[in-house]
Amino acid sequence: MAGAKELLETAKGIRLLYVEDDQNLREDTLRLLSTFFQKITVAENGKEAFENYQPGRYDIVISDLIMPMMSGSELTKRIKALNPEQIIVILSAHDEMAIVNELNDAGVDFFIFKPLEINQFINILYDSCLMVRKRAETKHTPNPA
Amino acid sequence: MGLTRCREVAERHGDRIWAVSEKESDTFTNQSYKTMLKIRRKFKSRCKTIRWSILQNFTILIFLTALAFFIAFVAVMYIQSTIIFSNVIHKVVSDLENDLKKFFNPVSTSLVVVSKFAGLNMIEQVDREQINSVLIPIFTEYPQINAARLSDSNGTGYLVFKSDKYWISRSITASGSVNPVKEARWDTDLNLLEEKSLDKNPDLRASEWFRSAKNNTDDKLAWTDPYISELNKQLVITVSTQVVRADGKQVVLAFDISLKNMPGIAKYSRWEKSGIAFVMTENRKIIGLTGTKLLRGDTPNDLVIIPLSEVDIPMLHDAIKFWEKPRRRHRIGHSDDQLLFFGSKGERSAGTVQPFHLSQSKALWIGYIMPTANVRYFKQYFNQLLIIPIVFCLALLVAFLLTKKMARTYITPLTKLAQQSTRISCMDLKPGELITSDITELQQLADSHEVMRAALEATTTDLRISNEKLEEFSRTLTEKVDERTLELQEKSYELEELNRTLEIKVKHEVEASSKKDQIMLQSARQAQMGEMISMIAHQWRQPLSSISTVTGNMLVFLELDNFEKNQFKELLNSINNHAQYLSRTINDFRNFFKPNKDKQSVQLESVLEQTINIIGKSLSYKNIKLQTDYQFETPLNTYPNELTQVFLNIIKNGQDVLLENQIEYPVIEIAGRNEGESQIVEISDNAGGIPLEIMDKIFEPYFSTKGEKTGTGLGLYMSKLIIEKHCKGTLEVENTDNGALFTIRLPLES
Repeated sequence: MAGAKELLETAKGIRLLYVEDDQNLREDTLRLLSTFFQKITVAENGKEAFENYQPGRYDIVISDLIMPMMSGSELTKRIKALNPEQIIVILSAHDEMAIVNELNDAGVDFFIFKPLEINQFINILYDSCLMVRKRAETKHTPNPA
Repeated sequence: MGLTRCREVAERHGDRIWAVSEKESDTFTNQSYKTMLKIRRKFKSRCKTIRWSILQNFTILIFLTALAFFIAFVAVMYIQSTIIFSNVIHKVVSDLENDLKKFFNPVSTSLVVVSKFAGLNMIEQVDREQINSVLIPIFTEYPQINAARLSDSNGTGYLVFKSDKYWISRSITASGSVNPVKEARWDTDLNLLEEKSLDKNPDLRASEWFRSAKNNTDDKLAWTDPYISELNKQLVITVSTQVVRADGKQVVLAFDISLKNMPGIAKYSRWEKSGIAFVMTENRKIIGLTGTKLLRGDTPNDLVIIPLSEVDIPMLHDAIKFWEKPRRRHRIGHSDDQLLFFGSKGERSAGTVQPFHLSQSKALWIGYIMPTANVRYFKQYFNQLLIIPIVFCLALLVAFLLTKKMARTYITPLTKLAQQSTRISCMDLKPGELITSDITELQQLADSHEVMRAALEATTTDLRISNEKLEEFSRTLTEKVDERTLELQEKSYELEELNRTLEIKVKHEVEASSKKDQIMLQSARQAQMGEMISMIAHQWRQPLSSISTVTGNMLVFLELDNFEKNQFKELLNSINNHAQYLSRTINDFRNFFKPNKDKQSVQLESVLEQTINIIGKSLSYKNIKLQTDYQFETPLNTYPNELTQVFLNIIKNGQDVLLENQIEYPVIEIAGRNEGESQIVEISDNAGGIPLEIMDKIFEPYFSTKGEKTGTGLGLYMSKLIIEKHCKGTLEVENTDNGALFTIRLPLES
């Protein structure tokens, strides 16, 4: 299991886009994220996030599910249409799981349940970062096979 | 002699006594009699023809109609019966199919969730929190999932499963290790009960679920055949999927689905009497309960899977045989539907067998068979055929009565006319029975006949008749006056009686209605408490998330050994703030439910704020914008909690309609001000307004447009009751340009 130290190591240089509409939660989560990540862009809802989005600008998108203007699932759909490679992590409560299938079809990469369980959170961020690094490697060094 | 005969004829027809003087010429009478007989004979014979022709024609017509109806009914019944069989069978099978979907789909969804969610790093080092947070909620929500399995390609793996009242987990290190299996057992609250090592090291890579996921190339889920699980000895199907971890390693994740409550076993074994629904594997094994008639067995409710050949139900064997090699196949309805009809030892049955696809390559076979003879349902249906003779007899009776009536309509006026003509021809000018008829021509004839007679009569008897009539009139007048006086007396007596009972009735009604109101109040209150809990959930969602985020953050700081005292203080303060907020929230709700029966002097602003505290988060969670614009100059002496209840009801109503109509930018607006001797609160939405046809019904009890799920139909009724009865104000509703506007008017002095 990955711990905070491993994540700190892996997260170096990874660029985040974090989307959350509730101000308190946004500040708290941002504090947690900035422990590991140096480059974090914040958006207050899906619409703002999507207007800000460009393929290649962010390595990982972390988004809340239920938001005004544009929901997390709609944001996922639009981003994946632009850039299927984009790694997207969705934060959601257990009772919102009815839209799991919709999110899955949209191509979301990871779910994190709210309220946060810190080990899961770190694990998933760790996995996401590994995935980013792996993809970057395969792009730069062409596969000999 | 002529005269006598003339009289005989007249008497036979019930006429009055001839008014013709006997002195008159015999020749005249004789001649007129002869003419009359001639006409009468002719007339009578024609009369007969009409009567009988109508009778005959009508009877034949009705008879033919009834016959056609009977033939058509029998034909329809014949076709219907086949269609009904087909419908019943397909209904059962499609119900079964839907139930199976509901049974299996959540498992696939959960597997996908976990594969995306868990990160799957837990394979190397599993701790209880991981299981707690990931698997247990899913196990609890979907009881059909009773085990999770995880293995990588080295055979390192992890199994967690439910056994009686315990959770058991096994960590398995790669095959060949010395101390391979560690088992832990927890109670349902996840307190560790015991830990031990097991000797036997299973090779997970050899198991069916692992291999099928590995061999599954199309990136979907792989399903095993049903088998008895080695973990908890239950009959299960395992669904597995291969996941590529972030570090490139491949792992297989699987869920066991216990078939114990699978539809098609528990539910449909009740259908034994009329038919059998069954679920069969691809290799011809039936899944069933022992103890049901379907399968032989000693202990009921134990789930078994046995080969088809060991099931002793001939009908089932016949069905499978016919399905595999159809000899006679009926296609009814859609061209895809395959309905089998077959016979066995003189008993005919019908049924169908069709695949239920778990994935593209894996399917279960489901089917339903029923005997077509001795089925109560159909017998009942065919019994209705008995109605045919009854309908037929009724039709004949109706035909006869109708004909008789018609004959009377045509013939009776003519007969009477003929009789009167006879009288007139014998110089009897007294007015006969006034002939009326529904038939225009007959009426005209009768009228002109009457005019002719009257003109003749008028010259001789006019004066006498008017005298008689005058006398008659004065006599009846007196009678009528007496009658009326009597009636009046009776009426006044009734009125007295009514007055006496009315008082008692009113008292009863008032009592009954107050009892009804109490019951309604109670059920509205209960419904509202349910809604409240959902509102609390919305209020608490974000603060709880914040608390868990901040504590997580502190744990991270500790683990990284990188923190300052002040920073920690700040974080602890922030947790405290969130906790304070949660506590305030609960106070709002508690205050609302606190019974206060006395009036209080309050500013309406604070009542409205309390309302918004309660429902605000629920609105913003649903993206509904709340606009407020209120200011009140003076406090109001009123019941604040009941007012909150009214505001909540109206806002909740607006919220439901906004969501139902899927308004793009939903807004609820609350305005308020002093106006003259009262204070006004206006709550409006932009949901499109109330349809005019239900406008006067929305305040009626148990009227709801929202279906049973969301509405009790009491919210607005209670609101009106509270405002008008308790607060002595008014509650009105009207439509604005884009929505509904509720206006609450509360008097300053009540």
